[in-house]
Amino acid sequence: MALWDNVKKALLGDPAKHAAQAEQKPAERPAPEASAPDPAPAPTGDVGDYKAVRIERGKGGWGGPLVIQPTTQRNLIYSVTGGGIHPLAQRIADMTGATPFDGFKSKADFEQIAVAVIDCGGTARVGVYPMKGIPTVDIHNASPSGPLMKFINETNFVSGVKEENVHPA
Amino acid sequence: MQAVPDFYRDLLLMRKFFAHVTGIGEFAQEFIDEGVLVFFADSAPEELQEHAVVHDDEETLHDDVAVGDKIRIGSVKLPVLAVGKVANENFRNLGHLVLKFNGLSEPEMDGDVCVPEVVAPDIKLGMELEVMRD
Repeated sequence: MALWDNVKKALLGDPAKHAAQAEQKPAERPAPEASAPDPAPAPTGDVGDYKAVRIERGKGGWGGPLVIQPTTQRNLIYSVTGGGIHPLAQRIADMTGATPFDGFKSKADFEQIAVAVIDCGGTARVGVYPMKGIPTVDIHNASPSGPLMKFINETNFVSGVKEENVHPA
Repeated sequence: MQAVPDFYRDLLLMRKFFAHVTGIGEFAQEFIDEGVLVFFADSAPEELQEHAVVHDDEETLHDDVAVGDKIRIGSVKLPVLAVGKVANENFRNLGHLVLKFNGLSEPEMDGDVCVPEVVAPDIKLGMELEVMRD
């Protein structure tokens, strides 16, 4: 018996030793680099090659700044504006690597939306997307109002935003 | 236009927008309770239709809404008192109108179109919506 055990050890290596090595492995892995603070809402899915951006309020605007980090799951820049993809949505898409999406042309799941870009004059759209948990960027100078204003705050809404208010995070 | 009788031609020239109500969003009443009718064309995403009175945008707005124009909702005619600076852009592009029954001659918000402070008419499916020049 002892001989057989020794042969096994010689051929396959010592299982106890293997187990010890396996346990050690995670500890040997280098600590991951400090990650950026979580944007709201917390990302789901892999960050992949997507870059984060910081979006600040423009002159006369309200709220923010918002940090938008698209992920493999939330990778749409959802433009809910007249006349197709708004240039601001296109800029956010270009800087993050995420996909611009025209909300008036096709339908997207809310779970896929990294940020909504709106051209709201102050009453309806300002509240709808914050209510759905989607960070919202208004190109106009709206501030919280209307029956949905309770859903709007500085961590999910920013307004008066121009292209120069979008920076790499 | 030759074949169109004068009466109808005059009517068409006065008209800036025409549509029928095709839906009333589940949460539209929340806005109505605050004296606001929010309209969207039926091409708008679902999440916006939920909060709005939805219409078929049969004749898309082809001339800016201006102070003094009349907005007709069914049989109720309302004079326009004020027009916010982005209201026409949203109305033309998205069939999106924010009608505030607040009697103001200066809009509170850039998207507002203000009419007298009266109770908003009851909205029914099939109802006509029209904007006519003064």
